Amino acid sequence: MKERFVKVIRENMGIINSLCRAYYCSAHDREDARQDIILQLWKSFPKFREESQVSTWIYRVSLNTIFSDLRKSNRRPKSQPIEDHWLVDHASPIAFDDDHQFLQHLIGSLKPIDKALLILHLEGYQHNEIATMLNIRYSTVTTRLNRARSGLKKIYEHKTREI
Amino acid sequence: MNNLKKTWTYFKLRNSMDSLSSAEILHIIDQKEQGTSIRHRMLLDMLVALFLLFLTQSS
Repeated sequence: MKERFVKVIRENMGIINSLCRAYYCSAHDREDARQDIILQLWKSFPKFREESQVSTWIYRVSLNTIFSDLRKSNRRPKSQPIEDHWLVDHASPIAFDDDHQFLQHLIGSLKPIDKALLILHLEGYQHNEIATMLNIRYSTVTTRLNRARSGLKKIYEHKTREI
Repeated sequence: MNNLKKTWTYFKLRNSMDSLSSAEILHIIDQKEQGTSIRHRMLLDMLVALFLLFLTQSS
C-alpha cells in the first residue's frame, strides 16, 4: 500500500506544493504544512475508495489540513474579503506585468476560504462540488464566485482600455 | 477567468518540480507517526506530573 501511496503523492506533488505556497509565506511553514498534509493523506488513504478523482481527494484533505492548522496557529496570512479586494483593485488598479504576477498577488491577499474557492474554481470544479469539498453552503460559493468573476472582468476591461 | 485557469495550471506545473523522492515520503510517514506518539506521550507525562503536583500541594 505504501508504494501505491508514494506513487500517488509524487504524481500530485504540484497540487500539494501549490496549496502550501498559496497559504504560507515562509519556506519553513510550507515545509511543515507539506509534511502534515502528506501524513493526513496517508491516514485517510485506506478510506479512499477511488469513487472520486485522486485530485479531488488530495484537494479536500489538503485544504482541511491547512484550515485546521491556520485555526490552531497564528500563521494566518494578512488577508481581505474577496469583495473588498475587487473593489480596491477596481478603484485603483495595480499594474501587473502578466497573469502569473496577478494570480500570485490575488492568492496572496485573499481570505483562506476565498482563496480555496478561487483555486477550486480555477481547477474546474462545479459549485456544488466546491460546496461539498469545503463543507459550506452552495449559495455562499455562488455568491462569492460571482463577485470574483465580475471583479475580474472589471480589472481586465481596465487593462484592455489601458492597452 | 480563463487566463487565470491557464496560469493556475502553469503555477501547479512549476510547483511540481519541487518534488520529494520516494524515500523522503516514506520517511515523512514513519517519522511523523512516531513524532505524533511522542507528542501524545509527552502530553500524558505532563498531565500526570501536574496531577501529582496538585496532590502534593493539597495534602
